[in-house]
Parts: sequence; structure tokens; C-alpha cells
Amino acid sequence: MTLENYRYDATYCPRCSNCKWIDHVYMKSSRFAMICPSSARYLFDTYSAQGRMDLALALLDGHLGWGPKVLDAIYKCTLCGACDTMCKRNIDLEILEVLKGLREKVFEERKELKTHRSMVKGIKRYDNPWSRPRGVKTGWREGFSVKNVKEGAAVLFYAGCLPEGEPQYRLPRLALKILTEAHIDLGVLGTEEKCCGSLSYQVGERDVSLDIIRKNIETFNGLGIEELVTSCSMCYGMFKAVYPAYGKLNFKVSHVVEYIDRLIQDGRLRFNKTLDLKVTYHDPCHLGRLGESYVHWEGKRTEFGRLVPPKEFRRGTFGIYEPPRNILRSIPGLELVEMERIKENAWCCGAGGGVKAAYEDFALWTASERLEEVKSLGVDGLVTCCPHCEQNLSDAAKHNGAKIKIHDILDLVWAGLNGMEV
Amino acid sequence: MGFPKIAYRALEDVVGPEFVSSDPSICIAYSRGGYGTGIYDRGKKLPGCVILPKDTEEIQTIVRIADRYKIPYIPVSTYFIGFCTPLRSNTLMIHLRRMNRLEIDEKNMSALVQPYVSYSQLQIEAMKRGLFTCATMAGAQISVLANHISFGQGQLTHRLGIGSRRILGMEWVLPNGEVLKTGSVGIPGAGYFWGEGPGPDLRGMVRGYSSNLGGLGIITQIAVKLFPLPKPCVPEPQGITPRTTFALSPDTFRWYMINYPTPEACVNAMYEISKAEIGAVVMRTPSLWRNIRKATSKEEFWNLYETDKVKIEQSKPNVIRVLLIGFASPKQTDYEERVLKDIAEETGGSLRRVPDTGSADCFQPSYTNCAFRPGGLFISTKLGYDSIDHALIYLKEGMKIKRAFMPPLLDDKEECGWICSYDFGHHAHGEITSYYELSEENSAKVLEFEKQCILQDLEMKAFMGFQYGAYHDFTGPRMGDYHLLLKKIKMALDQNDLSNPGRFVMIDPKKEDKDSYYSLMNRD
Amino acid sequence: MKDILFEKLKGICGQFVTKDPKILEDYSSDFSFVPPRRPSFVAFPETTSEVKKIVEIANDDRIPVIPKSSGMGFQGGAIPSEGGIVLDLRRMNQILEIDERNRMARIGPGVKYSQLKGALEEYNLMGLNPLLPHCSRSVLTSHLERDPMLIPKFEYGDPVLTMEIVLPTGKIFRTGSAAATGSPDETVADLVGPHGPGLDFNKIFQCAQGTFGIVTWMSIKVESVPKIQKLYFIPFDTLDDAIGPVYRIQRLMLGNECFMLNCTFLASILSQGKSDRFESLEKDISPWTLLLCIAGGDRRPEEKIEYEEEVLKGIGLEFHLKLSNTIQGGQGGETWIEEILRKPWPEALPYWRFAGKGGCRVISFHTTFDRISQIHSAVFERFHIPSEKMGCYIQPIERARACYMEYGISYNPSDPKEMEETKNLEVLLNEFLYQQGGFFTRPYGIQAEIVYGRNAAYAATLKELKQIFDPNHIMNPGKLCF
Repeated sequence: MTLENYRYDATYCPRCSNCKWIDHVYMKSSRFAMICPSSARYLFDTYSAQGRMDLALALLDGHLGWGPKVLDAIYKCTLCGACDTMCKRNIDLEILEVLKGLREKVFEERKELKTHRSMVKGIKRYDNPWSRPRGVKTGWREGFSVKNVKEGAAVLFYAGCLPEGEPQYRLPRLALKILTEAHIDLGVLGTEEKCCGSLSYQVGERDVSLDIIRKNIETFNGLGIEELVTSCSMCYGMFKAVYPAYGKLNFKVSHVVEYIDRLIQDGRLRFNKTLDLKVTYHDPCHLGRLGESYVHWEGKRTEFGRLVPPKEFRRGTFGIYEPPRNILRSIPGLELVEMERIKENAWCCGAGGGVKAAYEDFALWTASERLEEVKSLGVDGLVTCCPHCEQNLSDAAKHNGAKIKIHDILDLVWAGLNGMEV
Repeated sequence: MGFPKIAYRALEDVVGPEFVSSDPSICIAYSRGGYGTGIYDRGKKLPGCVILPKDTEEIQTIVRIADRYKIPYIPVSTYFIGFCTPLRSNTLMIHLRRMNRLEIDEKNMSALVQPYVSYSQLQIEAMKRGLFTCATMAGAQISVLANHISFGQGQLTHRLGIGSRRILGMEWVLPNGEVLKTGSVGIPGAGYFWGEGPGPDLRGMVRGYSSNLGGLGIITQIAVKLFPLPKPCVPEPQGITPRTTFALSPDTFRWYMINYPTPEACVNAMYEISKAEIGAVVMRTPSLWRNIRKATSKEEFWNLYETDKVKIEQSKPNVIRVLLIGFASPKQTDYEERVLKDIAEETGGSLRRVPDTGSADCFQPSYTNCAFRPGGLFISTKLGYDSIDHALIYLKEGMKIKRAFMPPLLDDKEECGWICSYDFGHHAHGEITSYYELSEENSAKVLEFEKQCILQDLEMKAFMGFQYGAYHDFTGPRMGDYHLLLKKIKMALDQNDLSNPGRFVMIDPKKEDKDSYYSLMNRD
Repeated sequence: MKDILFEKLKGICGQFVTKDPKILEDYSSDFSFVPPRRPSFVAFPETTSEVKKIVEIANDDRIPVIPKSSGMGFQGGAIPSEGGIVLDLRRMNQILEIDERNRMARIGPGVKYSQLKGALEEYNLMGLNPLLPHCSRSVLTSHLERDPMLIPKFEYGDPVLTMEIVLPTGKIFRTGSAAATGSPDETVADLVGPHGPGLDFNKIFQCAQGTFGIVTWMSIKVESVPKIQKLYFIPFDTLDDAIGPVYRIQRLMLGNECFMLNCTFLASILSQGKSDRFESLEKDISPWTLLLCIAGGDRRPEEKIEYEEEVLKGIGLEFHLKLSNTIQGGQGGETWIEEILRKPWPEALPYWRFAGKGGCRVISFHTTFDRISQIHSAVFERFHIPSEKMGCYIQPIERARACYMEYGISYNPSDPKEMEETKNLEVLLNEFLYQQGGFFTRPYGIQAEIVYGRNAAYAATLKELKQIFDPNHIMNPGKLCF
């Protein structure tokens, strides 16, 4: 869908500023009241969703040319979807689609940032956004035995693109160890695993992204799996919310936290060890408010913008919020203390939307703001379940000298199962 | 011709390059208001520059630079209303985004706020301390300062009064760059606790029933009244978007609806409730609003509308919404409930208790964009401010005009509109909200509808309190020539007509104004 | 020229204008220390039209005009600085309207409190009165000058609604919804909307000491008379002891009238002008007394009193208060208080503020309630004024969000030395209070010099407005900063 398709949404933005704040009903302090990192950091209204609606209309109508500030305003945004969720609490406008449409337009007119261009090239050539050799995707398997899914398995474990040498490299291994402990029939694609296309899609590149999506759909559908499980929230978000727009998936998509939660509920995983820890949990955007299933709609607008047939809007209601919390609450000794901005009101970690690649300082600023919220709780650590979140939050902690440990939930699950130190 | 470079350099020297920009992609986001799109922003221009000052001293310097180079400017904070859109070329938008100081004096029940503090921020900090603010119907995301100096209608006005009643001391940068401190602020060390005087109260120059629309300089901080809750009370929110809400303890907060057969009966009951000095919220709500709040999607709203409109036409519900608060103790709530029941019975109303989750909409309202749920746009007309009876009279007459403009206005089957009590029923404001779709043709019709409403008020000798800048030249001559005083005041305080020109009062219509809201209202 | 002017005035007011020196002398001074100055004429107009015509003449000839509605003054507000015409508005004493439904009364400037009270009683309504105003005090002027209301429970401390004003140019202007076409008699508005038109002009005329125009009628809020009530008198040894309880009482919105008096002022009231009684009362009454009226509502009054008393008792226990319906050391004076609480001071008795020595300088300011003890201690430490010489009245405003504090310095008006000492004390005390953070919201005399001298921007802006409303500077020149 192009930006023109969302002209109505940009036009009818009432400029109320709700896109900048968390749901007011859930506000717990004036300090942690905002939800839009871009607007909070850059202050000019252009850096808010409502400002970007004006940008969109101006670009569509030819009232604005392309310049560095335009790209700055478009891309200094993590596409976290908070604005969309806050807006949709009250009205039916596709704010996020306008933001995506702006990025598509950038690529259509070949005005993309150099960093994003390189990233897309890397994805196209090497199946990962870091232009590293393909083999990097399997390095984490060294010494770990898991079958290729083509040998036949109920579950495909999808590892995602993880940079070699980074701490997040451990996550697929951890996930597999946990699932293996529960005797799940699973396999991996190994070197044949392609990038999910999330980052190229998020920055607005469509040709490469759609090529990846279609090919992946074909590959996955041909595997005879019942379920695809991933430990990366960004990949999860793609498979759940974007892929079905381009082809039917004949399998279920789950994040590993959903799977583990089910295993715990079914009694197939039991925690033997007590973890004497006080932690808080960070909701990854692509698992939470952006983790709802795609809903197909085709139709037209009539009077007062009514959609015929009626459209079911994705408002962040059915994101994956409880499963990770269930897991943490079932680990003996672990105390979960919630931050102020959680679930659909979560403050983004700062990594998404191509920001980490193009605007590292903004990514770190956003993560630092999240760490301020953590600091106010007096906890031992922050837990998340997305390698991008973990990486960016860790980078920010290191950058600021913050003494806060960043965990993936898999670390705590594994420790709870086997008594490993966290 | 672009924004003058010499002025730009001077502005950059004040705030630093990071906080000023004349790039069109920055300015474009300041060229359109939300409420009043297509009407109040007619004749709008792209701003020439946007600046983000951090404190009063920077604002003083900015205003002096603007004065030196004759640059029009507009102060904006949360920028919802279309009156913030520039009418002059190369306007400097002074965005007060960085000024977000909030301090609460718990003992003396006030809060010092700068322009970028939202109602929701103030509300939650106040509630933790056993206090609360009268959040505006415009929404919890609205600037507290901007709303207090502009409108300030909230559900709780029955007890707490309109925005202007709730302003204490103020700090105000005049168009000549001087800082005016009103009330106790002018006394070193006295603080912001009191707003009147010394002597004649210059807060009277900030607003009437509505604002001076930034036409007399920039208010940089004010103290606002807070009000006591029975005890500190941080609400426990429930639900997930879009159905989020909270309830407050039913010992202390109770919501009711009373249904009457006629608006006259409704109004009589409002008077009785006021005389009994009970209640915190007392207002007659249009039927459409109930469907807007019940629905969680546009489709749901339209389904409810289609189902209800026949019912409404037949039964003509006239509903008063009441909140009782037991400020002194739960026994006060019980007492007020008994009194309310007595009144309902005596006045022929059918009373029922409704869920206490109405408190979320009252204390942390999301009304603004909730009001846009039906789709299209809405406009409020007939905004008079006098007695409850007066509201009913002009609203009923106003509905006759509204019917003549259906379409493009949505037929909401209303007999009158929203009537909201203030100061225990000593005053009331009435309002007709009307929905329509955005188009050139519709905007022209809506403009005409608005004008007809005002002319009707003048003809029937009602008081239309909501005098915007565009009306003064044709309402003034019929209302004691007040418009001439406004112009003199404007010229005395802003002789170069730079502070949001053309909005507070039109001094010198220019060629570029020919399509503006002002010109269209004053044609013929 | 004076004769020509006199003839013109006679042409407007008939016999109701004078240049009799004896009468002019009466208008040259009041109970303040403002230097006496005689006007050239005193006129007694009866209608707005007469006021308008007089002002037009004065404006043309640049003759000062000084409006006066109260029979006596404490602050020198109606003493002419530069001669001119005093407009005594006593004849404009019509109660133009009582609107029971909207709880409003519309009055002329000559209406006094006793007259209004009598008229309102028929409708079971009452005004929002200040503390025991002088019998000749104009209700309109009292509201215009923002005399603090005894009842702090409302969120409005200002009962003014709409006004009709004769501007210094002679133009008739109406504020709020009284600006509606056809006002006041043919409009559908009920004249109860205080805002607008355009701006809140009514705020400019308040506390202006007549420098912006002459208010010829005003509509004000009135309220229902409580069906039943109970007066409580709570004694305190120090102001410190009173701060917590008053905040709590006001925070919980208990009661109607609520104010504090020191023993001197309370004795002044209870003694009813008898000096020997004043002396004994002053010794017996506790240093401070808080008066709180628990009032029943319009409906189910007993039930309202019941829950409010229960809460009050809780506060009493918490703060170890002595809640009594009698005045400690008051020798039965509670009956008198009950009788006069909502009335002006009886004409037959010497005015209560003058009890003691016969004269009284009133010095008032606003502050926050938590500072009253600190300020009072500082005043005592600095000036050592004996308590029998200094009355003190403290009025919480708008739920104790602020308070009005008033000192009444008594002196013997027949003793020039004492007068001079009191005059000097007034100057020093005002300056001292300013330094303590006291805010003079309605600055009279020396207070005006203090505040406007140190808030230049405010004074400058007022002058700009003055130039607009009164380009020929005829209205009460020399007052405020003009």
C-alpha cells in the first residue's frame, strides 16, 4: 500500500497530541509520561506522528521537496507504533501506515539514507543486515546438535540475524536448549535460513523486502511444519503482522515466550532452582503492540470515512504481554516489579526502524531514557525478549556506566531450570 | 521572500542552532490546527521559522528580536486549536515545548506550571498528593497553562468554575519584551499563591470567556488551583487499549444519570441540584456523546447511532450526568445521594447509578480525539455563557438553524445540546457540537452555519460569550462597542501587531487575509 | 468657570448638587490619614443617565470625578487629590432585581447591606458578606473592592457577576453577559455571566478605586440562607496551633463562615461599644478564636449538619481542639455573634473596629495560611504593639488556599501625637509586611506606592490601560499609580 492510500488518515489527524503521551489513564508520574522517543528527543513537532502527517500531505501534494531535514524527520523514528496505538485508543486512523508509507516513498524516489542503502544491500547479498558472511547465522550452533527442519519436524526454530561475537549470539542456543529439555520436535534451517526482511521493510525498501517475504513464505510453507517459533521479537512481528499480507501461512507463528509459557502451563517445563532476583520487564514493540496478527481488509471509504466492509483495526490489544510475565512469575524467588510504561504503553528501546544503524546516538538516548525508568525501581536487572532490545539497552548501559544488568528472558528461564548464574 | 536571515542569526544566538529552524519540513508541522481545520485556519500561511526557547529570559529576547525586525509570532504549546495557525507570512512559531516545569504546593493547593505540562501529568502528580485538577473536556493531553488562559471547560466546573477562576499568579512576557508579574508574583519571595491585582486585575486582559489567543504576548508560567480529594488516591487503571479506564472508590465517587422527558425538566433539575449545593459534575449531555464513549471503533459508533437515532427521535431523552464526591467523608456521598434522589423524584426524573469508571473520563479525559470518533470533523457553536435557562433558550433556537444545515451536518436528533453548570449553577455554558465531512463546500456551509448562529444570538438578544477575534467587528457594535476597546488594548500593548496578528482582534486586514476566517465572517 | 460648571451640574441633578463649604469639608477626609482635600462640588445623581451626563461634562472640561458610594471610608479612596466633583451615589439605592432562580441580586451603588439583607430575606437568600461591614458601607463598593467573604467554602472568592459602568468618556459599558444586546431589560440573558465581552473587563474595574469608571449597577451572587446552623468557637493560644486545623477544615469543605479573630477584635465586637466591657473581655477571651459555622443545606439540613459535625469532631480529636458552641471568656457573647453574623454593624452602636480608643487604622494584606504565625510573630517582635492596641482578623480565602490578614491599629483620634505615631507606624508596618511577603492585592495609599514602585511592568501596563479608558485622566486622579 502506498502513502497515497493513507491520505485520508493523514488529513484527518486532529492534531490532538495524544500520539506523544502514554494512555493518560495509565499514567503514573509526570516524569514518565511521554511515549514517543522521537518527539521527546527532538522536540520540534515534525518529529511527532502528527507532524509527520503534515509532512506526508506536503510531500504528496508537492509542497515540500526532499532535503536532509525531511529524511531526518522521517527516519528519526523507531517505528515503535506507540503513536498508532495511542491514537487508535480513540479513533480509527492508520498512523503507522502513514509513517511506513513515507519511508516507502523515500525509497521509491531513491532518496534513502546511505546507511540504509548499505543495510538493504547486505540483506540482499548476505541475508543479514551487517553484510557478514552467511555462515555467521549458524555459528551459534557450534557444538550443539539440532536437526535440519527438512528432515521433518513439527516446529521450525527460526534464529534470526544475530551478529557474530555479540552477546545476543547465545540466544538461539539457549532457546533450543530449553525447548530440547521439553522434548520438542524441532529443527532449524541452518545456513538456508534467510533474513526475515524486517529491517529492510522497516526502512521502507519494498522490492528486496517483498522478495524475501515471498521466498520465505514459500520455503516455510513447504516444510510441513505446524509452528514457527522464534526468539527474536522483530522477526516475530514480521511473520505475524506483515507476512500474511503477502501470502497465506499454513503454520502457526509463535514467539519462544509464548511457547515456553504454554509448556509451563502444561507442566512440561518445571523450574527447579530459586533465583533470588528482583527484575523488571521491558515489552519489545514488535512482540507487544506491533505483535498482533495481520488482519486482511479490502474495501472503500464512504461517508464520514466509514469503511465498507467494516475494518478490524489492530490497536495493540492482543499483543503478547502476559506470557513473558507469566514465565517470570513462575520462576521461584524471582520478583517482578513493573515499570510505569508497560505493555501497550511501553517506551521503545530505541533500536527499531533503522535507527540503530543510522542514528546510534538517538538509539542510545532512547535506551537511556528507558534505563532511567528502570533506575527508579531499584531492581537488579531488566529482562526483555528481543535481541535488538537487549543489544541497544546494553549498549546504553555501558555508554552511561549504568550498573544494571540486561537479561534476555531465556537466561532466567535456563537459570531457573538448571541453576546457572545470571 | 524567506525568513530574514539577520533575524534568524539573532534567534540562533539566543537558543543555539539546535533549537531553531526555518527549514520548511520543520515549519510544515506548525501550519495546521486540528480543531477548526478548514475554518479557523483558512488563509493560513506556512510559518517562516520555529524556535524552542527554554525559559522566560529567552522568550523576552526572542520577542524583542521579533519586534526589532517586525516579525509576527505565535506562542504554541500542545497546539490543538486552529487559531494557532499563522495568517501572516514568515511568522515565527514560538513552541514552548521545553518549558515543562511542574511544582505542587500541597498545603496551599496549587501547582506552578509552565506551558508544556499536560493535564494528565498534573493530574497524576496531584492525585498522589490528595489533590486534583479540573481536567478539560479538550483532553488530558492538553497544556494546563494554555487551557486555563483560553477555555478551561471541564466536567467538574459545577464545583470548580471555569478556567479563569482557577488561575492564580502569572508571569507574562508582553509584546515589548517586559515581564509582567500579576498578583503575588510581583512580590519578591511571595510566590504565585494569589492572582488578583495589585489593584485592577490584569488577568482580565488574558481572557474573557475565551482567550486573547496569544494576541497580547506570551504567558510563561502560572499557578493554578488544585482541589482536595478526600485522601491521596492514585487510581488503579484497568483494561487494555482501547478499553482502558479506572474507577475510584464508590464510597466517595458515584456517578448517576437522570433522564427527563423534556429539556425544560432537565434544566429545572439542574437548578435544584445547584441550589442544594451538591454534586461535582452536573451537565446535560447530548445523546450522541454517549454513543461516542460507548463505542471503541468508528463502526461501533455508527451501529449505535443507526440503532439509537430512531429511539432518540421518539423518546427524546434529556439526560443529566451527575458525579457526587464525598469530600468530607463517605457520609457526605450518602447524604448527597439522598438529596439527589429527592430531587429526581420531585422533578420527574428517572435516576440510575452508572459505572464508576466514568471517573477516568472525568479526571483523565481522552475526549479530544474521542470526539473525532464518528469521523469527519466537528465544530462547536452557540457557546454562550450566562444562566442555565439562557443556555436552553439559545440552544433550542440554535437547533433550528442547525437543521437547516443538515446536510452537511450530521443529524444527531438533538433538541438542544450540551449544558454544563458552573459555580453551583450560578452560570452555565451551552454548546452545540456538529459533525461534518471536510470539503471546501462543506467548510463554506459550516462557516455560514456558525455565522448564522452568532447573528441569531444577536437578533434574539442572547449573550454569545465565545467571542473569537473574527466576530468582534460585527458583534462589537451591538454590544457596547467593546471591540473598539479590544483594538485599543491591542495597539497599546502590541503596537506593531506582531503577537498572533489577526486572531485576538483584527487591526489591519491585509490583502493576504481575504480568504481568512476573519474576512469570510465579516463579508456582507 | 466654576459657576458655569455648577449650573451645568444643577441642570442635570437639580437640587442634588452642592458647593456648600461645610458639606465639601465632610468629603475632604475620612478615617484614613490621607491629607484632607476638598472637592469643588458634590453631586448626588439618581440615575445612570445623570452620571453619564456629569461625566461627559467633566471629561470635556478635564475636571476630576471621584465616585463615592459608602458613607464612610477607611482608606482615603474617595478623597479628591486634585479637587473636582465627588459623585455621591447614595441616591442610586435601588435593588433593581432579585433573581431567586439564578441566585442573583442586581443593585445600585447606594444599596447598603441592611437594605439588601432585608430584601433577600423574602427569598430566603443572603449575600456573601464581609465581616460586619459598617452600616453605611455600599454593597457594590464592598464587592468592587474585593472585601473578603466570610465563607471560604466556595471556589469563587469573588461574587461579582456583571456590571454597568459609565466610562470616563461618558460611554455606558456593560461587562459579562450584561453586554448582550437589549441589556438589561430586553435581553434573554439573565445577567449572570461574568466573562467578556472579549476580555474580562470586570476585573479591570475591581480594586480600581474608581479610576476606570463609575459602576452604576452590579449583579452579584447570593446564596440560600441555611435552614439551621451551629456556630463553633474554637480557642487557640497561638496561631501556630490554628494552622493545621484550619487547613484540615477547609480541605474537607466543612462549614460556611470560617474566620479567626484575636482577642482584641473579638472583644471589640462583643463589647458592642462599651469600653469597660471591652477591657474585661479582652483579658478573658483566649488569644485567638476560630469561628466556624456548620450549616445545614437547603435540603435535609439536619443530615448535613450531622455528617459535618462528625468530621469536625474527628478533627477536634486529632488536633486536641476545644470545640464549643460558646466563646471561651466571651461572657455569653455567642448569642450576639449569631445575631449579627450576616448583618452590617448596627448603626446605633459605635463601629466595632473603633472600640478601644475610637480610631482605627486598618492594614490588610494577603498571604498563605501557613505563614500567618511567622508573620505575626515577626510583626510583634519588630513593633511590640500591645495586643489591646492591635486587632487582628484572619480570613481564609477559597478553602484556605490563601488568606486575608488584617491588623486594626487603634488610636485616639483626638490625640495628635498618637495620630502621628500611628501614621508613622502605618508606613513602617506596611513596608515591613511587604518585606515579609505580604501581598497588597488592593493597595491603598502607602501600599500603592510600595507595590507599584516595585512592580514597574504592572504599573506601566495599568497606565496604558488607564490611557485607553480615561484619556483625559479625570477619574479619581492620584490613586493607585495614576
